[in-house]
Amino acid sequence: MREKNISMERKKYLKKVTRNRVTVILTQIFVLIAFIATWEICANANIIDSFITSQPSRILNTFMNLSQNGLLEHIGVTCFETIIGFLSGTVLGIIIAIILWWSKFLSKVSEPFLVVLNSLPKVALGPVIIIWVGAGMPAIIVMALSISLIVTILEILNGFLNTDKEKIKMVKTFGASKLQILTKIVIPANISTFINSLKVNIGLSLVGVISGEFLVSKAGLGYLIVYGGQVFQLDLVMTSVIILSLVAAIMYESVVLLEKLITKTHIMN
Amino acid sequence: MSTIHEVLKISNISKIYQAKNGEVEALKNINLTVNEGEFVSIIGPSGCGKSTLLSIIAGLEEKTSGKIYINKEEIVGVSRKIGYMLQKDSLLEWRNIYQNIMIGLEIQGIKNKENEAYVDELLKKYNIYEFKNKFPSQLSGGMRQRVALIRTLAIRPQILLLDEAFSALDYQTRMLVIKDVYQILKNENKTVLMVTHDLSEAISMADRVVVLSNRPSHIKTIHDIEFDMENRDPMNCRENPKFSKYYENLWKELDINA
Ligand SMILES: Nc1ncnc2c1ncn2[C@@H]1O[C@H](COP(=O)(O)OP(=O)(O)OP(=O)(O)O)[C@@H](O)[C@H]1O
Ligand SMILES: [Mg+2]
Repeated sequence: MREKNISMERKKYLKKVTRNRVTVILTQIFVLIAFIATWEICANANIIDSFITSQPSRILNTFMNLSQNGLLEHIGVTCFETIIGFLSGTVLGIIIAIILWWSKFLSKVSEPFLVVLNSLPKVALGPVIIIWVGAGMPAIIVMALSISLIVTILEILNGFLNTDKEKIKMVKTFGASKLQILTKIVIPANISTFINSLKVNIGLSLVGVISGEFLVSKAGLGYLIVYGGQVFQLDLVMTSVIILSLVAAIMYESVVLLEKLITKTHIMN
Repeated sequence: MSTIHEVLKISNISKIYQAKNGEVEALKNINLTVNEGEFVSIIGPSGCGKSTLLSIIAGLEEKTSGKIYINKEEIVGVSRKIGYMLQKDSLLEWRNIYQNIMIGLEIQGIKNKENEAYVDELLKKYNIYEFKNKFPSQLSGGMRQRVALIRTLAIRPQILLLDEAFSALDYQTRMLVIKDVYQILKNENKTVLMVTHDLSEAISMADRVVVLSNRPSHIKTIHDIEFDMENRDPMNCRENPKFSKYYENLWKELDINA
């Protein structure tokens, strides 16, 4: 709607929408600043013990020395492990979901196993994984993979099985083969399922990587957090936690960006 | 229609569904012959097996016994001579109108110059050409059903099966679409087998109306519909005095079944 003469009501309405949005953002910024300021002031006034709680200025300091204290390298390691775990979990999950969609028999057989594996807290497998693949980066990646894989399979298989039966019937009337049903209907109809599972997986892979790093690693943000805790360097712990949340946010946002890109090219409207 | 040519022959079709809680005998010894260019409507009580019959002809459902012939040749499974139009248009929202119409040709691997030209011709002739780059969500219900029809026609079926294809549309749109579709099908000289629960719809389009009985369904009666009109269409034949006569007869026929 590219109308030139917008009515007064419309103008008012648009203004109100913008104003509401600005108010929300300003309030969010204010809350954040107030929290940081209170933290800093309380620490300076010795109301809280900055040895245990750390304090914003010291976190900033640690952050500034990023390149010297090797933080950058740790961030790199964690990101690398997460992305590998995430990608392999998603790709394997999709492949297995396709196989299970293809064969009703296999899907029936595997159902109880998948349900049990899904409810098992994967972190409990940590020691087993370490023994099997060795203490180190592979173990961490396997950990991330094991956390995201089962959920991905269940999520995507569920999406596949819920594909509009009428659409499938429609292509069957043209004599579509099973492969054609998969590629022409089931996969394109489930793009949003894929993206949703990407969104969930990025978070899950980070959980897997960090818990893996808690257990075995010699590098990475998880390692820094454990190490900082052991030597009572709360500045390091806090900085790592903050960076971790930034990393998580950036990864999540890149998936959202990918989603926008795909929906734009894939489905108009 | 100079010489009468038999296109579709349904011979002794029976269908028994096997379900967990027992057998459902849907169809029993259905026999029907449809000639080229003929429009046959099928009516019957709800759940009697009308959709089952069409699905069997389309090759989507196994038959328990019986045979189906097209042009005197027995067919097994999905035949390329048959187009099947369902109640839901099932347009794919991730494809534009043109790509939606092409899906049948893609699936059958016959997306060649000749067929593309034919689709273009259909698009132009039936006023869809200007919408071809739009997406399904941008079209009205009537328009979507028309696209679904063109999608079915694109593979050049000799026989068209319609299963309550218009029942999802509101009354006004339905009237217009029915008239439209009728004209298109006559133009393209298609042989049509249409299932509907709407008596007026059945009469207004058909050359013959087949009445099915309750389950297990067999053909109860077949009524010839003849209006002796110059330019008969599904709208103007409703005003013909014969229309209400047919309606009454068929209504009674169904009533006895119920
Ligand atoms: N896959 C199936 N398994 C078992 N029974 C079935 C199956 N499909 C249909 N039936 C049964 O067969 C009978 C005929 O079904 P069908 O859908 O052909 O009827 P219909 O005449 O098209 O009904 P409607 O008027 O509701 O469209 C019904 O009693 C139905 O419950
Ligand atoms: Mg039906």
